[in-house]
Amino acid sequence: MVAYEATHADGSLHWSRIPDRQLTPRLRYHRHFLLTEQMAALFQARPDLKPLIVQTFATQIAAQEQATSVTLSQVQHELSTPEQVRSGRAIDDPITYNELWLGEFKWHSGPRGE
Amino acid sequence: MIASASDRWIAIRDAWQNFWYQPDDPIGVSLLRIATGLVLLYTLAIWSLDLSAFFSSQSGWQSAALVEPIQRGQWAFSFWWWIPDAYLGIAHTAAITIVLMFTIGLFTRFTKFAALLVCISYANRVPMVQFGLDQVTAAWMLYLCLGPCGQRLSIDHWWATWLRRRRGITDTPITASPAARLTMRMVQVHLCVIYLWAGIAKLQGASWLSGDAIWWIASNHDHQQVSMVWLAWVPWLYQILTIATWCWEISFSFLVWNPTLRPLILTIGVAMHLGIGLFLGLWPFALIMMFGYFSFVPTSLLLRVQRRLCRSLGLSNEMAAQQLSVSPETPPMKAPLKTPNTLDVALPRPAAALSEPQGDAGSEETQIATNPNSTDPATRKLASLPSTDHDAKKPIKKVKTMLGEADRDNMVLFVERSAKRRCSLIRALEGVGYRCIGLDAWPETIEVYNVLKPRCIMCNGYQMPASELRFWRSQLDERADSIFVVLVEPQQVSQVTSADGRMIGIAIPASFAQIRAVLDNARRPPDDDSPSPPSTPLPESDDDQGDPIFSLSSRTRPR
Repeated sequence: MVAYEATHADGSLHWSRIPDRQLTPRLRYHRHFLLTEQMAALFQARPDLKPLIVQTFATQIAAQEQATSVTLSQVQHELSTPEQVRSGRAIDDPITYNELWLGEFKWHSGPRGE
Repeated sequence: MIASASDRWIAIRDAWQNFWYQPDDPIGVSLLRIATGLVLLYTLAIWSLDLSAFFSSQSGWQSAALVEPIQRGQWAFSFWWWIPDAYLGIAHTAAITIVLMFTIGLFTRFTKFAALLVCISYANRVPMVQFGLDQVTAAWMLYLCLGPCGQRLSIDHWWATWLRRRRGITDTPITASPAARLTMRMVQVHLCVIYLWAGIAKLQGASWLSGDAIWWIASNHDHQQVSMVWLAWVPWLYQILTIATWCWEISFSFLVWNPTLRPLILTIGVAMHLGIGLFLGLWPFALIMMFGYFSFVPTSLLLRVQRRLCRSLGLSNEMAAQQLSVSPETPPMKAPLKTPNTLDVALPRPAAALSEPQGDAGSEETQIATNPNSTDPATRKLASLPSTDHDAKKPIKKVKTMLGEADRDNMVLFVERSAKRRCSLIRALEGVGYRCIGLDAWPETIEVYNVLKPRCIMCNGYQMPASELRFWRSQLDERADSIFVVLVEPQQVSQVTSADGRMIGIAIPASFAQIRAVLDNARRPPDDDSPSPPSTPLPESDDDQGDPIFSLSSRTRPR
């Protein structure tokens, strides 16, 4: 997954995650889910593409949010074992998520197309 | 030994031809067209929500700058690369229109290819977010392009019927097509390949072998729609499900071809895909996989369902009757693929002449019109069936010159799709003094009959409607003393047996002795009441009860 913090021109912040669980219909959610899954896979398979992928995603988020600044993080989810679940840990417990900082992107006059 | 090898080769060749090219009713491909079209329409509708975010070449999640290095070295066609960002909406609307036309069967001959290009273009434009849904949809679309998917359940068919009615032709012949069978076979084989590779790939993952893989899916909060956390308390269940999944996937390729096991295998598949739809929310993927199962549903069942739907929806009786008039599951319905080559003749000398290689008598689709009262020219044409290749009749004429009148009285024309049963009966009948010609399809039978005029015609009428049998009988009744012997299910015997004794039903399973008794009785003059002893003793291999050739058990019944 990808977590981002978008800063708007008025200074307000918006934090969100891709895929957003509120995204409907399910196929649309799944496409966004695949986007981040494939991103993680490409980071492993094609490390040379990592800067390009991150910049492309940041540009799209900035355009979507009309933001002047975007901070991106890769979110890794550690899956819980049956024993951990039986002992009371929720499968979406915050401690199971690990964030890796990807970069901060700023635009002086709104997001650029390229 | 050479004859045995030849028989085996003929059997293999016939089985191969029947498997891929036996003409079939296009109801299956038409249904698959609608189902696949609806899934593709839904996919495109969802893309409408994120069109510029995913399909803009200048920006978006999948900008041209990002996709180009990902697809470098691959040939991945997509028309989207030629669409400027300002026209994304127009192109998307055009694509939806094409797929909609394809789904409802409008100009299907063209829209099926256009819809395939649409499907491929969308998938290739967004390589990071395409998955099994897009790939399987594209595969079904590709196979639908091979077949006559617009010949039924389509605006095209409705329009053609309307035009014929306007010209005063009320009877619309049903076209059975080898391409329809080929399409469905390709889907079946593709399903087997998908599952086989999926199963083998799972074996390379430790979690699938250890039985934990289903749990890891269940514990992925972002991948599930319905909580499956409860599985943590029933580990044996997810372990069984995990092992069963890859076992089923690998075995699918082999077991689904067994008619007895097929319903069970497909039911498990439906259950698995319903689970994927229910728990992961991937309904479009689950549906497109299950729609592939249509290829395993017998055409006769689809036709019956269609007929009932027509009646329940109050559609015209004529339409329902038209759909009933075809029974493509019956073995004899086959296009004249290689007319002379499908003859199995047990005549000492002419057999060699008949086995000479010949060109295809015609690979065109055969017009099958089984209504005996039909006024359609296609029906009458079938009665004489002029061959497109005049040379194809030469071997038959050679046989004719070698036969005397007594030979024709003593001759049995046997129509049977199974080469094994055909050859076995020929051998058995030859052994007791009959001349016998075996054929595997009705059109060739009529052609041979028109040249040789034998006295007796025998066929395997399993699952053939009595009306259809009467129709073929009417095409093979030029001799006043001819008899028509049909192997049918016990309950059909009384229906097909005529009062004048010229159409005789024999219940399946039938022993060779029963068949021979019927033929011997028919050969005897009508005024001769004394029983005549068999001219030749029965072959040792044929006993009264157990000749397996004519015992159409569930395994040997023609599909």
